Amino acid sequence: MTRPITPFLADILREIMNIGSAHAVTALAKLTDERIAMDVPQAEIVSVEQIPDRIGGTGDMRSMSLRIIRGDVSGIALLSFSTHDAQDIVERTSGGLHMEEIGGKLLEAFFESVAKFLSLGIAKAEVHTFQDLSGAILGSVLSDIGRRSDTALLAQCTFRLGPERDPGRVIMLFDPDSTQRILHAANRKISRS
Amino acid sequence: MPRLTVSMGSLRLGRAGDVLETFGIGSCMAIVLHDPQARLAAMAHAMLSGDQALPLQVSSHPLRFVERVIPLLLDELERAGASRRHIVAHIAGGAQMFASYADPSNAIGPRNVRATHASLEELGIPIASEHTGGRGGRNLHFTVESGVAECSA
Repeated sequence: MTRPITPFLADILREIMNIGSAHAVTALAKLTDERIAMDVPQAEIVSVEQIPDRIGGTGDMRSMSLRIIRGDVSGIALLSFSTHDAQDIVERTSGGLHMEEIGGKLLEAFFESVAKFLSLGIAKAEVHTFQDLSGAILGSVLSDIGRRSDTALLAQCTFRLGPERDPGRVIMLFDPDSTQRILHAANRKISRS
Repeated sequence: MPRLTVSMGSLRLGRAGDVLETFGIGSCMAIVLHDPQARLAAMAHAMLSGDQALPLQVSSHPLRFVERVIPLLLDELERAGASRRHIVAHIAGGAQMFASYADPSNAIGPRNVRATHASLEELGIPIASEHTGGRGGRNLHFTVESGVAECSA
């Protein structure tokens, strides 16, 4: 079951993803000294079961950095690269950073900008990186959401480090309560401006 | 050979000549019930055991939970002509994906494996093959004709 959201709310959610993803991608561009093209973000409320197919490539090996979101809103943030690109990014960064540290910097850039834009408190959290089948990582994350919820807000943005590369992805998953809090915060922001 | 993909939270029936497959099984369970004589099989990709979720979720999402989806697989097979006394199970999944930082006592994967064993035992369905546990994901391919379950990562 997919619940449609109004075009107005979809625009707000896309704009929030745009702000966060742009900061994360800029951080990655600085680390790798490479130009990165970012696609238009997508946001939709989807049944928990449909989310792996919406993201695609469930049987593909990926490097995924995962951060649990806690604070005024709760959810899961994921940063996903092909394993080949993840290795290449690690080799390109000066200072010998691990993927976990790179994922941490990128997701921190995302949340700092979004929390500031929406005036929401989002706690700092550790980032853990896994190399495994995309569906296996996503399914395990979604099982936790599926304990208590029919649907989740799926917001994702793809970006490309070069024409030959698989797209990287920033993926956000929020339960329905947190989705409402994000929309309230966005409405507050809009009515003030 | 037709390849029928089973998504998370769904089930499908396969006949002789079909390959049933599901991708990216982590803590979830892929469950195949197979009647080798009728050359019929049904596969599900369930996410949780019922004791790990709110009762409303368990009642409203039968394909999400191992205890609820196994009887549905059985119904599907019997409706297609399978005989209960020939049916065996092949199971895969139940990994502890985030063992490096998650609380192991609350791990979803091992609880899913235990619930799958209990449900199959209750229904008197023997397990013909099992690829469960560990810390990594799997893809499962099941050839209905031969009854061979193959896991790849």
